[in-house]
Amino acid sequence: MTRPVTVNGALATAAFVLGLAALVAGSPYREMSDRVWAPAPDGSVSALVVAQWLRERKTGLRVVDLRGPEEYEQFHLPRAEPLRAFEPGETVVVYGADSLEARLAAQRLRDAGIDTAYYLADGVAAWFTDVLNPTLSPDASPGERAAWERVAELSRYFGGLPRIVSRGAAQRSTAEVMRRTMRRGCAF
Amino acid sequence: MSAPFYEFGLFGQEASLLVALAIGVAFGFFLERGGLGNARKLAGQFYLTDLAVLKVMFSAIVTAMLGLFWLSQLGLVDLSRVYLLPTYVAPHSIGGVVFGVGFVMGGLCPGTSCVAASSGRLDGVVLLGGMLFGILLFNEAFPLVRGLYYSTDLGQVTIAQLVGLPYGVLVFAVVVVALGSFVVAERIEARAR
Repeated sequence: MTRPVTVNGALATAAFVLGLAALVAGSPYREMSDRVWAPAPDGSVSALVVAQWLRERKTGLRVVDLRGPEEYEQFHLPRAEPLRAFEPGETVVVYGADSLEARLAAQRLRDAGIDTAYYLADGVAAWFTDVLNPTLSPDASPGERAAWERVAELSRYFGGLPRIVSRGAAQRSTAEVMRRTMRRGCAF
Repeated sequence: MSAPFYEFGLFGQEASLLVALAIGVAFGFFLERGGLGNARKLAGQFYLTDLAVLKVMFSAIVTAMLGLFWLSQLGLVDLSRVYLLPTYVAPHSIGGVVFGVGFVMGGLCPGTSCVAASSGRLDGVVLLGGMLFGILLFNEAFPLVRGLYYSTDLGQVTIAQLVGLPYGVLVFAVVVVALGSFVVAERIEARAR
């Protein structure tokens, strides 16, 4: 006599099958694509986009540091300036210690008619991790490796240290990177 | 259309707060209906007579994990835009111990104490008060513990990154451990009855 299928049994079987299929599904994180080289629909830009714009001397680019004078003195992005009034047509990137304040400031600028006002996703820490200290895992896919060349070149342009390291070793803390960079006297 | 909706601008700030409220209410409702607003039921976890907490938590973990994994594989969620809480080993360990001691002493955790209080249980109200007092105390004492609070920072790290395993292997391992735990929990509960 067969035992009836219970709800718990069916759910457990479904979980097991989905877990088993995950073994061959690959990483759930999307490969680095052209998406990171353009502003996101939510009005954010990655540190790599800002770095690219700075490097190519994008016309009308304004980088705004929302943090206090002390933090600005310690470190700021190249060409960063305090918040002020901007003209329509200028591309404004605001950043702070994190995303929240910058997101609101960018929204206010857009409300004031600056359509190309963006905020730096993940704040100033993103500049340290993504531009100055980018890492690639040795087991990265061909797609990730192709994108890596562009990142590494950009990082070196800004005095960064692109490295190929294991995933575990790549977990350098942002605070550590910031301290190391500041000790190096890297202030733009 | 891809999630997280808030990150991609589908929700504004206000709408996201309303969504959070709805999720919170649903969370509390199902905790209450599952009996987890009752300290006796939660204490059963420590006496190995009622392992509902373990089963609820593992069910939630496996559901969320498989959901995020496969929705990402289908291109419906961009995991790189899902916020990860940074890991601070020492302060999180100490916080875990404090949490555990409070859980054993009170029979409720922060979420279930809110559920217990809102369903009229006096112990839930007392614990909720204690929790708010603890938050106040921590904020007042923050200058003294700031060094510890920011120490041993691993950054925004996932377990797969930390141990260097592919995500698929970790997903499968968690599913197997969860299903094994359910079987063991059922046997322990049957023995206690």
